[in-house]
Amino acid sequence: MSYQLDMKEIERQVYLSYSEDGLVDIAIGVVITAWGLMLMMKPTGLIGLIGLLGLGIWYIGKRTITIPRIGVIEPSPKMERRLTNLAVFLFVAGLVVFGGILLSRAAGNTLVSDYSLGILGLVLAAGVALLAYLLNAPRIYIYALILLVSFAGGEIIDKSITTFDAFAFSVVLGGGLIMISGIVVLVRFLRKYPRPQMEA
Amino acid sequence: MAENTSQADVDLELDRIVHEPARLKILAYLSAVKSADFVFLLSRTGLTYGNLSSHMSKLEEVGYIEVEKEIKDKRPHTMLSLTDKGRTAFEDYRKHMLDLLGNG
Repeated sequence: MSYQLDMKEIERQVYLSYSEDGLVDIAIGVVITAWGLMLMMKPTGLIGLIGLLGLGIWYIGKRTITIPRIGVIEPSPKMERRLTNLAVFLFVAGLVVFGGILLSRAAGNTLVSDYSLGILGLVLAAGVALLAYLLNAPRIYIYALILLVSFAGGEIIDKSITTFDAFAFSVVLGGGLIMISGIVVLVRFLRKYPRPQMEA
Repeated sequence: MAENTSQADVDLELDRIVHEPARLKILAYLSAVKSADFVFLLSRTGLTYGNLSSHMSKLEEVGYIEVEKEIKDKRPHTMLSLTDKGRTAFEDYRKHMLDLLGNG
């Protein structure tokens, strides 16, 4: 193994500290599952709270589970740039997609209107894939694929099944898979890093 | 012959503070972040509490790292960061090792 490769491994280990606990996975899974459940049960007024739910789970989990076990870092300027780029990309992509869908609907574009949820899934999947790239976490690419399949596939199936909300069911299934995977990662994390007895 | 020996001496002139494996690990992790706390280094380096503490003191003594102690949530909390001197020493050491061992 080359000397340079060792440094890459150290950088990888540092990035791993952001995702090794599975909390990002659980937060994504909970948000997607909760959104799907709300689509099924139609309490649409609560949709704005879903993002806060994911953020809350992630924040409380970091403070009570992760930081006491593997500590905390202040990111280097390079890492800060990468994380800022992700936030900007997600914000701009969200604006472009919602704006684009609304404009297309207003202009009577039926293709965009008919597949707007599939398009939303594509953008969500792209955002999650970017998160995977920035955090050097290969398993998160699989979540991107799950999101794409559950949104696009769900919308296609939904058009042929009218007896129940196939789209919402597909979203709940996708979110549930991500959440379960996150819980498995969290359990492995807890086993690997017991809480240190002495702290400084 | 004398010239060769002298060249070899120069080639092996490594910073002994950085060269020690545990301290090298600490510096390597700190070089990849702006700062990190004691628990982070404990979990990543695999050192014991006492070992890490003693290497931390040594590195602070020579001015390679800065140690900030504070009380957070009623518990002592220690943040460590590389100083400019420490970063230069680590980079010099890396260059030296790359020159000696090559890239692969």
